[in-house]
Amino acid sequence: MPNEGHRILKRKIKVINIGIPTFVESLRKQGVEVIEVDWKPPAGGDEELLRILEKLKCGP
Amino acid sequence: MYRKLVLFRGTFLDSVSMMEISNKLREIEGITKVHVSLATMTNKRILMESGFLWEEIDRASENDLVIAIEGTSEVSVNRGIEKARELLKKHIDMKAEMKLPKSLEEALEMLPDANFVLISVPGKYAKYEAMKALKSNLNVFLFSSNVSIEDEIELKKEAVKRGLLLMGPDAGTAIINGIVFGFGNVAERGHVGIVGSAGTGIQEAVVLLDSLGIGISHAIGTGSNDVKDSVAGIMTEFSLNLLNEDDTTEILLFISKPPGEQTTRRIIEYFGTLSKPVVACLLDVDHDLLKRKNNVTYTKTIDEAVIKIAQIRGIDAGGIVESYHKLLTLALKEHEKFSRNQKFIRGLYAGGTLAYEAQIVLSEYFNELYSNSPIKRFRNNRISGFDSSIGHTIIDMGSEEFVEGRLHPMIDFTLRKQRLIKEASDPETAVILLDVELGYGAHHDPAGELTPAIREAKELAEHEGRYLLVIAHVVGTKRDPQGLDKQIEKLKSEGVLVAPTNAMAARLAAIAVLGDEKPRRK
Repeated sequence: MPNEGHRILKRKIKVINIGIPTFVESLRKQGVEVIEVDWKPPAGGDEELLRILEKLKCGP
Repeated sequence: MYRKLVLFRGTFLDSVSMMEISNKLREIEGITKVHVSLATMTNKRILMESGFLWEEIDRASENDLVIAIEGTSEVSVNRGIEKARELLKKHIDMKAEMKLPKSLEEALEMLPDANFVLISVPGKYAKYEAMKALKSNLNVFLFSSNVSIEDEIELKKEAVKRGLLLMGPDAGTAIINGIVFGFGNVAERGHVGIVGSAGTGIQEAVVLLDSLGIGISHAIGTGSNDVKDSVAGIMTEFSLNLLNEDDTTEILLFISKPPGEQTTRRIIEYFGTLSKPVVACLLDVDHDLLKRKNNVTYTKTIDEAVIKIAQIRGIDAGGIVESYHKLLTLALKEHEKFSRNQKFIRGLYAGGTLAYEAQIVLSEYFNELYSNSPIKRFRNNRISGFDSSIGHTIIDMGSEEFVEGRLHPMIDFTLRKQRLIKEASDPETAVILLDVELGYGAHHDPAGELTPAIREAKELAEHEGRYLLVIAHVVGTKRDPQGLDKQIEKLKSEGVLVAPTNAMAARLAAIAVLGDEKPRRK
């Protein structure tokens, strides 16, 4: 089954963290390269706008 | 008492920063209660129960940050509010100075060869962020809970189509290539590959294997919904296949929260297609459903699964059983200390899988048990996690109703400590059962957090002429940052009976209450 997941079990892990910063610390302590995103609710938390954004950015 | 509540409209703060701010505010003299949280329904309810005015609480939406303070004088409450404003400003300024990327897209420009995204944003935004990650060909560890099943299925189908891992939603733990994601323990590396829809179940297996010197290759958490019939094991099959193909994995261990019936049949069939030996602990599954396949062994509890793996690898697991037998004698003696009305066990769990496993063990001894996440036998005894206990009660305090807009009880012990005192004041409580998780992601000193409340609970009972027994199991390894031995010692110094496994802790609780070691029912 050659796929990205299969390769990931062999590759050096590099992470982007979106959310709780504690996880950044835990990963750094394990020697993992991590980038922390200063996340805020997209579309200012407006659910209708969020759905439009979803379609725009995550559409097929 | 004086109370004041301030709203910060549209201000988002992650849950760890909220906890840090509340801890600092609690240090101010004269302040008795502090709530720093997003105004979700759960938090609004907690605020109301804490005596804050509903009219004020109701003005807040879940995009608003609420800081609510109670104190002995108006002066101290005002001082607290001022300090809160100052801390909040400091936090916002500090984040601005760090010049962090504001989105996944910006982060990818800084780390173009990233291969994983760890997402722990509130549930309603989780699909948006996770789908963007998958479309960028990144594996996802989705810690967020409160994601709809429809969104979960869509995400998982997209992941499988792209050959990517999507662990979660509500994924508690994973260990990939020796790296711990979420809540996880520092364990020996080796050849047991774990797949599980059971965060603390995986952790329990990892630490018990580690205690026997058995290492793991990878541990993949699929999120607990994966084994529901609606999701039908999409990520379970994908992950089992991945580990079956992985050359460092020699044995597969599968652990699941109670699975759907159709999915159970499907997964069992799938086990038969794998070329490696499988040990499977499907909690709360009718054993008639389990078809025998040559490469598969089924167990009822996680510790049995670990002992089975030890047998396969020719390793002696006698130590675990031996220490249980020593504790059994102790538990029988504890029975004599209870007063006549003390009849019930109250389990306050941070780990959902461990709460299920405890119920499975207790169901061998008792006909009635109540829970906010009941197993099949007790499905008619579902209560809200916020309800008072009835009879034997097992509460999963890490369930969605508790963690919406709040930190997980493995990090924030506030609600668990409150409940511990409440249970201790019930004259019918005999035993309190606790799980204590160590490792990355968890509190830096969980036993230190719990022991003052345990002491208070025991004193409270004693003051009213009762003896309260606390039984705990510590989910940790010697290499965990908190130090397993130190944590166990702290608990023992408060008279806590520390069991070698979670299932054994539940068994000891039943034996202590009954004063008899034989199961009462089949």
